[in-house]
Amino acid sequence: MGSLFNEPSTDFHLKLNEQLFQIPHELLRKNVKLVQRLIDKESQGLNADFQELNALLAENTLDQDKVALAKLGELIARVDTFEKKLNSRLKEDMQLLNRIKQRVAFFQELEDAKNLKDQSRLASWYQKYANLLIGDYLIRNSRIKARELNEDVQLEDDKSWNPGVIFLKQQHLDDLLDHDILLAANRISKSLTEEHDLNPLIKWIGENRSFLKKRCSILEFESRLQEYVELLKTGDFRGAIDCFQQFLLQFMETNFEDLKLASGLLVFIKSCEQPSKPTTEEIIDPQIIAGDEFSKESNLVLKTKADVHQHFFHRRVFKGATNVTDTFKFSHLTRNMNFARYTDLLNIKRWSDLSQLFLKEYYSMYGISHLDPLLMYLSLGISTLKTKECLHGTEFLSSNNKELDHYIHSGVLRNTCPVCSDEFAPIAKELPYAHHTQSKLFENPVMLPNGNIYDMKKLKMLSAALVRENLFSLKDHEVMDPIDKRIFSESEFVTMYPT
Amino acid sequence: MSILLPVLKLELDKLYEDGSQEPLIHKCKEDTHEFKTQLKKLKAHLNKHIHEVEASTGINNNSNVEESKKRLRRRELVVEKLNKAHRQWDHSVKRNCKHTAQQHTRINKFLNHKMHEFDLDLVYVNKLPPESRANIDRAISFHISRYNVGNLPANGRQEIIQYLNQVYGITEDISEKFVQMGQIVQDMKQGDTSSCVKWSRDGSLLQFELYALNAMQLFQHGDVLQTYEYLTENVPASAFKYRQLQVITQVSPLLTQLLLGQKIDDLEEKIQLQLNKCISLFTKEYCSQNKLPYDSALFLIILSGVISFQFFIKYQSIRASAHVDWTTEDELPFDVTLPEFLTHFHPIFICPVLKEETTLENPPYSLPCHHILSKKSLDRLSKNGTCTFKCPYCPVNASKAKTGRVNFVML
Ligand SMILES: [Zn+2]
Repeated sequence: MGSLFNEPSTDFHLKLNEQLFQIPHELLRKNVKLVQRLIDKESQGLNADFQELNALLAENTLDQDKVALAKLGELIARVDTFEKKLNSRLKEDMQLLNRIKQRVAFFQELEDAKNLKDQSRLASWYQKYANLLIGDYLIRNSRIKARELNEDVQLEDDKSWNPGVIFLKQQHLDDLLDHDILLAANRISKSLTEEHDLNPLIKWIGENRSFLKKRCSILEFESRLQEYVELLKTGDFRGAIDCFQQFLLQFMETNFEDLKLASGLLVFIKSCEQPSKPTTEEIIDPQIIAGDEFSKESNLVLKTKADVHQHFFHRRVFKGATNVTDTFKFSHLTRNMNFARYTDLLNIKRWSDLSQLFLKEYYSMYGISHLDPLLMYLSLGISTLKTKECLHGTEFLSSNNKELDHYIHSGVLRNTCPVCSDEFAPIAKELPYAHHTQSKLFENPVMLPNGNIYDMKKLKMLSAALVRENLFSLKDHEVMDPIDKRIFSESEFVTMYPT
Repeated sequence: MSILLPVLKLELDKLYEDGSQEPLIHKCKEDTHEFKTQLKKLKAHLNKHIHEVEASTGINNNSNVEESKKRLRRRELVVEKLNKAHRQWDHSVKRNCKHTAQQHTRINKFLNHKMHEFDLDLVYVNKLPPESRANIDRAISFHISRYNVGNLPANGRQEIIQYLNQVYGITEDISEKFVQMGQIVQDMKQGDTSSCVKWSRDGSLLQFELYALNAMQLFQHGDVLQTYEYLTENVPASAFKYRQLQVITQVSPLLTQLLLGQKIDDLEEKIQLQLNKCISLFTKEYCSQNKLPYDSALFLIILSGVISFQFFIKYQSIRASAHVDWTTEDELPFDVTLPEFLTHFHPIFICPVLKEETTLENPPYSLPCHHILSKKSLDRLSKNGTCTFKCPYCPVNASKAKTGRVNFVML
């Protein structure tokens, strides 16, 4: 129904992109809450002011009236500043509503193209859709750069820029994605993984404490623990102890084991001076391995008990206190293992884990998928296109006619399959094939004596083209097999019935 | 037909004041403004009152009792009005705010109940390996070079290559493929078709469409004489030879209108359409001439992913109700019907006996009756070539010796 090339319905698309409405709407609600708070505060203040004013006016004396007049002046100034605040909220509201409006229009475009059965409009809609996914991916993953070049591109945020945002602007799609939200996440995450700076994260936690509490998130604990560890690393014991007392003690009940470990580190840090070397792990994109850490980590080989132990100890902190008893058994078994727990705390990989934890919380707050949508589409799309013939190039026999070979190999037999392209072939290797229950061949299949089966019409057209382009002279009713360049007569065609 | 979209529109419309483009909370702002004006006015009244009282004291104590009574009443009125304005404002903004919040709650319900159906994170079953990052970046580089190179604030070969590298990190081996295309598209967008004309082949459709575009642009600038001259003298001779019909339908009306001094309706829009037509024709020709794919691999894969999504979701819901696990075989557990333009890359032959796609290890074989089977089923039927067998599709007998390996080739 209403489908031109088996694409999903508009409603399916809407559901798929629910977050395009969810996010600005969430922001709108936040804005209204701010307005509500503003009004409540103002209303209270004005009530008090009016009481005072009325008391003054009740005296009904000239002197008090004069005081009341001054009071009224103050009151007006107060209403005036309130109006200004309200105005900026209103502007915000307008912008967000506009975003939503544009998105509704975007999906209306899809609906229109489908209703009009306009294939080229539909194709260009999917162009935009693909560009949105690419913009999203770039905003999430590209490094945010300090603004220096490109004076031509106007950005609201003039301190920094990101290729994703620029791409969306150049494609006139910037209203269709909440780039500010994604960019903010990227900024905090990169400050962790690249600058080892906790401040932006801690600031964010402070602003969203009630949300994190509701989710029973361990993000705050983990970031304070990291702060503590970093202080210890620099030898600032005083600062570390302060941090412990001020921020970590409150987690005594929920994370007692971790606190024990943390205080142990205070004593043993000197003995752990050599934290595990920074490895290639750092370069691994955490987005891609997320959810599959155990099998995909390049350097992770769980051969010995110690390895297992180390791995799980490291993980344990993130997975809550569920396997405390297990780990206890371990530490009784092997005493020297205890050091692994400490060096784990010092491992710089904790930064990317912390960033992952943050991103999960952040995205769930807006109802956004924390895995890149682009990667999902790619994974699904590659498998859908991947046939058993993909990834092994066909072998051609070259002739001694260079021009002919060029014509055939770079034109006629050129494989344009996206899965077989240089970029995607390596990715496609590990992914499943498409599932087919029916053959998808061509019309009028004819077999040549060499076993090659072609579409008869196309084979004849090719031969005609070779003659026309003066690449090869063929007699009437002769065709050339483009693969082995042998010449056959049409009378040798064998019509095939591949069911 | 979409059911959600109209409802969504309707609900969102309620976030605006009735019949206006102003958001609901705009009313709060208006009320406040009105309140402020009222206060100012009343302040002026109070001020006047104070002045009058001051002026009247000491001059005439007893003469005008009436006057001072009147003043008093007026003062009372001011006080009353002040309080009334305050009450009204307080009531109105609170009510409005509550109303706005209610509408947001409604929309939130709608979004959560009607629009929320699947969890995207659950779709990502076969995760891409970490090494694929670099390849994805290359695919994106190719995509951006292909589709965005005409939108850059850069000009000239070196500058464009440099821009793509600095902003998007695209390496020269990719960007140089599209740099000429981008330059020409940019020229066209700026109203200069000369570089494209120079590029186009003599007698091509592109050349003709460019000629029409040029004429329209000259017409827009209002230089009648120049346009006329261009139309009559610059017409490529080949345009007449091959495209008489197009000349008649596209150029002649223009010429007539020009001669009659008529205005063309929505000329601006028509020029834009013609420009887009030229750009798309040009990019198509450019790509085919330079043996570049017209659509980037990334785009085609995303499109396949989008089409596949609905099948995936369907499969997933069946799986959930039947408690089956994701099949760990090397095939997707569901069949996706893709459009022809996404399936013409490789021939797909399903062995009619085994119902499996043939592979290098299990290639197709032809029988004397011109039916085709996979090697595996052939071996099975012929008991590894030890006996003759009947084709499963017709009564013709075959022996393994009479079969031959075949190879499907898509042209
Ligand atoms: Zn392929």
